[in-house]
Amino acid sequence: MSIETADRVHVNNTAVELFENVGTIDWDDLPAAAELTQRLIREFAADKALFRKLLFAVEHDPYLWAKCEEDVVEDKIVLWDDVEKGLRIRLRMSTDHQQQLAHNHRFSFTNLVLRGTYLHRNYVARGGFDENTLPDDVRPVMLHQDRAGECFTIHHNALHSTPFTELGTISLVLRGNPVKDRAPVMFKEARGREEALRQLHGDQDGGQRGELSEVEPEAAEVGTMFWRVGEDRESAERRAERQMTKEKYHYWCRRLEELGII
Amino acid sequence: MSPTRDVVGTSDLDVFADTLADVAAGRRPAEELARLPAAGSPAALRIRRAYEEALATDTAQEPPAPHGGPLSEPPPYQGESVIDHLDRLTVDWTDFEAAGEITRDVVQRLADDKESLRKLVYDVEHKPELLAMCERHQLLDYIVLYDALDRGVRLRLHISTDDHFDRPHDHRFSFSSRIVTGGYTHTWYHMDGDLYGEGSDPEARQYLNRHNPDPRAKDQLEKLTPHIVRWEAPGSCYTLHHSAIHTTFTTPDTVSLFLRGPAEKDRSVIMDKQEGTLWWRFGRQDEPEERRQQKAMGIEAYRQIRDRLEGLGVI
Repeated sequence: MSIETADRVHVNNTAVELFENVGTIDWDDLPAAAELTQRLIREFAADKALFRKLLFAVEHDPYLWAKCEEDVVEDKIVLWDDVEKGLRIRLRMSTDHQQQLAHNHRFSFTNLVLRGTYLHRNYVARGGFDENTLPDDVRPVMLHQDRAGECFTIHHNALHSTPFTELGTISLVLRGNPVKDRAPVMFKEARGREEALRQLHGDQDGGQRGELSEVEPEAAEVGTMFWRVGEDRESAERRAERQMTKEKYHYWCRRLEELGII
Repeated sequence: MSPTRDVVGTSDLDVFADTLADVAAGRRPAEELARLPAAGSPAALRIRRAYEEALATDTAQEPPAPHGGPLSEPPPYQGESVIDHLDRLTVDWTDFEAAGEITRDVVQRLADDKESLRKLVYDVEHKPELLAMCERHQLLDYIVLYDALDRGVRLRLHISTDDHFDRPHDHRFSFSSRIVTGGYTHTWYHMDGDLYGEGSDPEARQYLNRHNPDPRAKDQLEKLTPHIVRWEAPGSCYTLHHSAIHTTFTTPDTVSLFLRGPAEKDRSVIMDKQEGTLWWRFGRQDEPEERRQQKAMGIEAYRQIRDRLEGLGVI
């Protein structure tokens, strides 16, 4: 079964009135996409019965379940994915202190903060942002305090960081389809500093980056870069490694209920 | 305590141990006590007690100097008003991150302190040097509430007019802003290339308004791509670098606090997306007298705007 067919099965299995009259979202027209998707994501978050229904259905939907992940510092649960419309909804929940990671995305998206607050940085990179970019080339030009209830829509090429540094920060994301295979990420702060320094000192190539990893590192120095990739670029082993456990998923269902989010 | 330890796979005792490690390292945020799990084991109770005692000691004494260095600065605002704090504030805008943190804190506090805000607005009537700096523009009026640009601080109150246009622009200075009432659609743009070239451009002084745009700047608007779109509501707070191009598409009666730093370039740009044109804005000292008079607010308009602010419940 192709992914596209699986997507239709998933969408056709669950009627969601809110999305029925939505046509294909033109994410290239960011202001128009912002107006539409910010309304949709707010209405979705406010409709707790719908939110709850979709969350509880995830474990029974193999298409969505395969997309639920545990990453180094956050978990993701995908609630809805209509590829034809360019409308995927997922939860993003922090599981550990997050560092400032300057990055852009494979897709444009809208984000609604459900809980917590963090400092959102938008950067400009001198000479573009790629594997040759140095940390000092990446400078913030907008610092925004994102608080619960605030919403933004961002272009896939926009360079930013949204480190969840506060206990239990949770966001809801409405994203479009990917427009590139992978997107670069740079550590503007070290992660696991001692370990990162050991790695750096053990590095024999004199600081040359070489080929960037496509796996997010558990320890990194300032300036370390890696690629974020889509699931289609990941090996079966890597997918299995990232797959959310049922135990974790049930934890999140309970937690979101306790917090009054669903 | 590391954030998000309330999440998964961490026992109550781990949380206590983490807290205790913070205590040992000299970090004792008071709210952390409330985050401790309600565990009742003897070890948990001992740790809770130790943390409470450490907090009590903290409030009774000066905090220990980290690594034996000089004592840190006392926390801002202890026993002083926002206005007192402004009087002794110096902001170094060359450190954009640090300046942003300091100035967002000031505008946040002032927005929540109506009494101080009211005093600052009313004092302008008796401060001709401030009144002379208040201006009226097509899209907004502003009152200068406080001026100490030599210390990196000029505080303004922005009030939207009845005209609302989507005009991408940058600024000569970096600033922090806090929405008090109303709101606007805020778009941050990416621009391919550099509008400023080699810096100073005497010819730009000829193109100072939308009726007389810069003819050399054709096609520049095509280089703009919206990168972030958001709705800024009351309570929204952000810091913007002078190089960032943005639009604030306001709704009627939008009021915001605006704390700017010193000018970092001689001019800023403003664009009309519909017309595909751009023109330049210079500082008051570089503008012709006619332009200065044109935008000066004057006492009568100031009083009208002050009444409007009262009507909106801002002061």
